[in-house]
Amino acid sequence: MSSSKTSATGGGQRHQQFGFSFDQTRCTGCHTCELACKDYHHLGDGVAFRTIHEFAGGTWRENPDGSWEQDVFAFYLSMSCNHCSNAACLRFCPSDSITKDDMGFVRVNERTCVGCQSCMVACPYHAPRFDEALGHTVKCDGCRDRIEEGLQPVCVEACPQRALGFGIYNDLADHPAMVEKVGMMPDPQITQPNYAIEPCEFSRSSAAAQARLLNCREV
Amino acid sequence: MDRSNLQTTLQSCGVNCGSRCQLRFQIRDDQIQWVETDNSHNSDELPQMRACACGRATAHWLSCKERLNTPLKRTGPRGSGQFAPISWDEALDEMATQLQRIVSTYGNEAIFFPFGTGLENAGKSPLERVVNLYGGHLDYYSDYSSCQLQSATMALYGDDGYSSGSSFDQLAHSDLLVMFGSTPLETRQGGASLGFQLTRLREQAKREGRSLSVISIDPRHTDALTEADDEWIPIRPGTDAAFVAGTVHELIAAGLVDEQFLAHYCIGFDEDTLPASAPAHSSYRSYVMGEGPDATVKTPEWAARITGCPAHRIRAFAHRLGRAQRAFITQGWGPQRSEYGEQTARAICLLALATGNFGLPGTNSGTREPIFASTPALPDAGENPVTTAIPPFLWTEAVARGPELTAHSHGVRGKERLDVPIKMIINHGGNCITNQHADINAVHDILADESLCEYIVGCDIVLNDSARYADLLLPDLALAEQENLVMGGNIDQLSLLRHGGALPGDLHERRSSWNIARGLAERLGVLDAFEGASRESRERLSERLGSAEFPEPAPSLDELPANHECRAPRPTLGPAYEAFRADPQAHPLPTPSGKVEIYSEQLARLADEAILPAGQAISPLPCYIPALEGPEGPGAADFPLQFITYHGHQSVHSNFAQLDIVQSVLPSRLLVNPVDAARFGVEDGQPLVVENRRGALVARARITPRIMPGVVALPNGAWHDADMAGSRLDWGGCANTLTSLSPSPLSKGNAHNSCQVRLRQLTDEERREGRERGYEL
Repeated sequence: MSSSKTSATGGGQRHQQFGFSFDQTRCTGCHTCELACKDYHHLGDGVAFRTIHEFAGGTWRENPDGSWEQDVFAFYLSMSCNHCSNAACLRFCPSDSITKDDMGFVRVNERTCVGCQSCMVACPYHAPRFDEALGHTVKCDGCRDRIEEGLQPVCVEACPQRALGFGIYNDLADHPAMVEKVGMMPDPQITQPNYAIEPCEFSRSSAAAQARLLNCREV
Repeated sequence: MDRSNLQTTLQSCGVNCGSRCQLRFQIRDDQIQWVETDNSHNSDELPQMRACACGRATAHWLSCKERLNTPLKRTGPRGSGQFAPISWDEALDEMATQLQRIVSTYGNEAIFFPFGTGLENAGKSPLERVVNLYGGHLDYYSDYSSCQLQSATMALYGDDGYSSGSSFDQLAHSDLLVMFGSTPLETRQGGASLGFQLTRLREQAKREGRSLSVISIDPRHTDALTEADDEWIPIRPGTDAAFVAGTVHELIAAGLVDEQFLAHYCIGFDEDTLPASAPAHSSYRSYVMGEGPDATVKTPEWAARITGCPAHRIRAFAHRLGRAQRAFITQGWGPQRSEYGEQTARAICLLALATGNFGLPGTNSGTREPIFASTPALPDAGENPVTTAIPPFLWTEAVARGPELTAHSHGVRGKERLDVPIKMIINHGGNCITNQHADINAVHDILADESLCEYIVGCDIVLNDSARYADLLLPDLALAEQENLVMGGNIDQLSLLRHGGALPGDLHERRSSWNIARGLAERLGVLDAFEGASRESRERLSERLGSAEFPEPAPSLDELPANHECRAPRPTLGPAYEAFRADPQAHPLPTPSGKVEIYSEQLARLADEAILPAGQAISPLPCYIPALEGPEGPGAADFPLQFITYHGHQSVHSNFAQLDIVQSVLPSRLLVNPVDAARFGVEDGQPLVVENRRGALVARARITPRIMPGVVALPNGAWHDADMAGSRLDWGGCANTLTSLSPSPLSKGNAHNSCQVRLRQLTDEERREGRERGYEL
């Protein structure tokens, strides 16, 4: 896959489109990324900026002797804000509270956000979340404060399987194995997500179409 | 996030997955702001020790609402959780007085320390050190983790299997990994632990153009199955030995048995290698071919009816295994945690033997990978003058029926029969009184009778369900709150020495267990002996560092100050039983015959001598014996589902399981197959009652094809939460509300995964009760 989504301003590290990558062959659904994010951003048991989607497919058929035939498979998808180049949340925000910053992160201005939740409806990845206690939208900010100190986002540094990555998006996406859509994800043409995914065998297979999201209440 | 004025304290995750992953607490104004993990240089030789979701929740664990902050004395009935604060002087005076009273009335054998893994550095309790200096206590041997497997490998190989298995290093030479009930990606999920090592080894094989497929034989579809060539073989719980027998039948039929290996290295696979004492037709081959006493041929069709795995898949598996260049066969501890766990564990090992995948590069003995110590040995508990010991799972029996426990009926060691029941329990850093034991309702009744066990001391960092049964409760410091030394433990990919710094912050009235024990030693007049030669804490730390295992000379305390660590590549280990395979005469096994004992004379003798409950049996062969609570058990008509537990990503035993943040990320769900969901009218997300004759719990359903029909599964460790004076319905969903106190025949181990249940909807009255207890329904 190749793309050219570098910010028009170009130049140094700041004026780049940053993004996440995800090696789906390595993800075991351990949720460490999600928990580390909640711990770092003090989200407690409230909304999560990053969630793990568990997909499984296959059917069960009983033989006359009581034994079972099956062709079950499963895979995971870690999802957060994809800091899209053409972010729908930004386009639909009536109070102009969502902007792209100079690292390409999609940010919410919490002082001007009126909590109308239009962004939540618009985003096909369900990245913006409404925090009832705060009365406004909250979402992944790419751990910008960490990036500025030369660190990686907390979820990326957390992953025990090193499935998550982060960097200048064109570098991450510049690999033939990378795609921007697996399973039920929306067409990347809609918002141009900056999320480079190396799909696992199951999500590339024809069977993937029958996979069901098992934990829809938790994402 | 405010990143100003932060200080870092280097610490370790202290729970008993046994890995000591790195935690770096970010502190401002003496408050933990969040936890970072290892982001130092990463290499294949020295991978980062990244903590898993559990470790990342440690700050929440240390400040949880269940945290114990002051000594407490029970004010309500046992188990009610009603306590009043008391001073340390009152608490220690009381404990010393009770100890003196129990010893003078009943003797030291009436005192018992149950199994626990939450101690400082998961070592022995300093309280135990005091009691040992005061005459000792009834001991236990073995553990709750792998009791049955230890007995199995003892019979087969002459060792307890804890350190004799091959490490995953050997997978570099394998083309097939066969895992029975094993999921390192869940049980060892840290970033330098076994889970990531498996990922790396598989990627390495792919880069080298070598196949390394995984076959997982397990009622549950695990996270180890990641590639299209991997295979899931679901079998019913407790039927592994039938699966193995069916597989061996096919191996024999196809000429894929390694006859030469079996003839030279093993006894009892064939009639001509049976010991002289064995009757005719008692070899394993006779058992499989229907020439033994049961006259049943163990065809794949026979095995299919028992295991639920179709005969053609058993055949295909036998051929895949038989044709592998080097197969690495391993088992987790779930399969052996069953009524006939000893049979199960031996049968799994038998597959390695029958195919000769043994003692050679790329192979394993069929047991689990070796585990490593996570702490330098000192300070230990010293010598226990009482030599009587029981299997750890039988403490409830010893409370209820002490002198009825004998060597032949209950595995009592050091004495033919217990002289006295357990009258005093000191439970330090363990949740095996109720939550992690079994049949919580029965245990409650035993402990509620204060004429049986007269006094219970709890020492812990949190008020878990076991702590609720204490008469006196002492607040311990957590590992991370103290300066400490750890080794890497089950960080399988490197060797580590870490000198953790003490966390700042308000410790309330908590004391380190060493300090608590010191106060007790003073009152019992054994202080000098307790402290021994090393009174100063720095001296003790220095001694511990000197005793640490490390591939290089261990640094001194000056070279390794607090908040520092050093690491070295872990030396690669050879395959299990390499020397024996190379030269069995020069390196015989420590078994009576010096060979692998597929037929065990020792077990044949025990089969005659042991006093077992009606219906239980011991066999000299690793044959299949149906469990009373197995899928073929007599109760299946009323309780048609098999109930099993597994180590979920969300907790390590019961640690972390109750935290709101953990439950929001990884909620505990009952796995139900769509076939069973349709059969029993279960909807996804619905709260259900799971019940049997022992009790009932509430859990929400996850309808998933990743569990086989006829089986439901819960992650272990959820905190029991029931009105024990009322309905006893467990709203916390603790699996041990349902499991049985009946031990396995040989090792007297916990058989948690042999458990029949049924599902039903909540009644209106139960819903009311749940809402009153704060549950959303």
